[in-house]
Amino acid sequence: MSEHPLLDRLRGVFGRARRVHSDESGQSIVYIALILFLLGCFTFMVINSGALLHDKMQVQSAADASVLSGSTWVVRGMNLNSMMNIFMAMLLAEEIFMKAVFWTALTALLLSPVIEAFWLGVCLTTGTCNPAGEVIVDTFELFPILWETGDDEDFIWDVMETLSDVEDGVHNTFAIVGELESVRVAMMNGAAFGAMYPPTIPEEEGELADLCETTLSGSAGGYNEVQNSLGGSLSAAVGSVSGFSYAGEIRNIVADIVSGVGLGGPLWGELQIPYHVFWAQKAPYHFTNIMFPLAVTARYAVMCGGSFGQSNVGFEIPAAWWWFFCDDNEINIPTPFYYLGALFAFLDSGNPNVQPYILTDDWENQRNYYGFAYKTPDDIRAKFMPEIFENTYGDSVGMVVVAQAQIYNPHEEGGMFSPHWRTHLAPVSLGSETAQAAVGYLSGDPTGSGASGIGGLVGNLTALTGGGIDEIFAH
Amino acid sequence: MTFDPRRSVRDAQRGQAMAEFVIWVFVMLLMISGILWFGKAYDLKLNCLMASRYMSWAHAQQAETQLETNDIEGRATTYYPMTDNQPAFNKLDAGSIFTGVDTTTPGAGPLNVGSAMNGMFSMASNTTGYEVTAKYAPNGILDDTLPDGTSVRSQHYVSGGAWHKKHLAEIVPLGGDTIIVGVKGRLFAWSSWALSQY
Repeated sequence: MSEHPLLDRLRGVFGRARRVHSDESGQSIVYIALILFLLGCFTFMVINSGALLHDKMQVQSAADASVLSGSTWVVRGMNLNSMMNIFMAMLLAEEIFMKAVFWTALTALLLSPVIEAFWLGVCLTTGTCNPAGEVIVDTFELFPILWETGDDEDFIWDVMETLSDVEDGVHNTFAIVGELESVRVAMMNGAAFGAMYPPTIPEEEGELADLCETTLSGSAGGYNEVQNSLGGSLSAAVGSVSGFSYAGEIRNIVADIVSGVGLGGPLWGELQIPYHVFWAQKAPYHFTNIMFPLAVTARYAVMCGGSFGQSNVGFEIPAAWWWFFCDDNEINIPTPFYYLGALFAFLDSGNPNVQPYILTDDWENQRNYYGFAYKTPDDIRAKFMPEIFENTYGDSVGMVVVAQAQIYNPHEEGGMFSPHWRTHLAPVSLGSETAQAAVGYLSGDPTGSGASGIGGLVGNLTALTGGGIDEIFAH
Repeated sequence: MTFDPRRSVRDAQRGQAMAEFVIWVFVMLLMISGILWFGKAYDLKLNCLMASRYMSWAHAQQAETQLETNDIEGRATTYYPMTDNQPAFNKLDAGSIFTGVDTTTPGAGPLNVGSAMNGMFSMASNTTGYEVTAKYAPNGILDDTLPDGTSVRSQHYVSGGAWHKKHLAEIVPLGGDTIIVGVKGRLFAWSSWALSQY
């Protein structure tokens, strides 16, 4: 029984409305599905991003290790060749010394009749006759010197040639070993493949003249013999020779002559020691103090591609016995090796087989090495890859990253006489030309800058290991 | 008795919003804590990566830096702190580019320079690998529950050792400065000997 018809109707209306409002079945599931879908998307995105980051991190780490390990071999080669350049500079000093001994002895022998006549004249004029007898005896001692210095000279050249060959081997081999090392280390760190570019060492095949120049002039990268001398300095080296003291005048003459023709160099300090030990005991002492420095000068000139020095040298002679030769307190002694040196230079102007490795002038443009590491699409954990990892056909091409190492020498004038080379990672600054050349080298793209392509890479590795690339990486 | 239809509907849904709120807060807290958890775990993983890179590189350079392994580990834990994560540093077998290759040089030459190179080429094997592991929540419930615990790890291999002068002086009997002075001494001795024969 109704209290009021209107109230009944209202109840009916609100009852239906309540049923409608209360019937929310199926509504939540739409929201939940939507939210779960969004959450799923977010979750996938988070996991995919994490996986992508992991892939990138791993392959970047592989590229870093690859180029760092590869360039380590580059600097090993440069340090090794720098050491051998130093040895060759020291051997060059020995060689010059032996040449000087030979030339002095030969010149003295050729001039011995003149010398003996000269001292005979002195004997007859002044009554001082001792030197005349000594010269005759000393002349006979010159003959074996001519042969023995030749043998010793050959020995030194042999050693230098050996070092030169080793340098050549280091230059060629270490670049390839570094390349192989970069591939190996990239793969050890999880990349499918890796490589280093360029597969070269920034040295150039030098000539003996380069070694002479950098050694004698003390130019950047050159070897400073004085700093590394046994005695540490010329005076210390002189002091280390017992039983002999320099005549100040002679030392000055030597220094003036050598530096006067632009050939004064740090090697000179090293040459002093054996020179005076020998000549003080053996040589015709009236003659050698003049002839030896001139002969050395001539050998510097001949071996190092310079001039032949002076055609004659003037000396002040004590007035007690010079008066019948000239009246101006000077005597000019001709230097026959000036002319003989030209002939000798024609026959043997240095050993063409000795080719030291000297750092190129523009080495700073060649100090950068680039490491590449590659992950195949199958190796990549991320399920979704951004478009940058796709080729023009929409296929995933895997992931390639690049790293850069820079070789350096902490010494300000570090060069191929400074065995302090090291390498470190550097921010990547890969120019388009270098990138194109690297792609050409790695992929065999004919548009590369003349690189030999993948055949070159494989060829290098095969040449080194004696096996194919499959055999190299099979294990 | 008065009828209030709005109150009737409200009564039927009383507490529903709170229940939903609690559920969603729980879900959101779970997500946020998960994000934080994985974020921290990933940070730990990054630390392991950087530590493994440092460990392998520092050991590859060990011959020239003369650092002891304990010092290297000490630096690694300082640079990449994982104090509460029980970090462990495991050396890996890195092999050598010259595995199976005889790297000894021929016998000593007239100046005996070659003998010094034996030590250098024996160094060619100094490719170093290190694995660094750490636990996100050591000895916690998850650490005991998960198959691998809460461990994260990273491995890294690298080759180092520049063979520079100081390096060689430390590791090779006739290395670096020693070898230069040694060769010079031998040259000097040889030239003295040669001169004495005249």
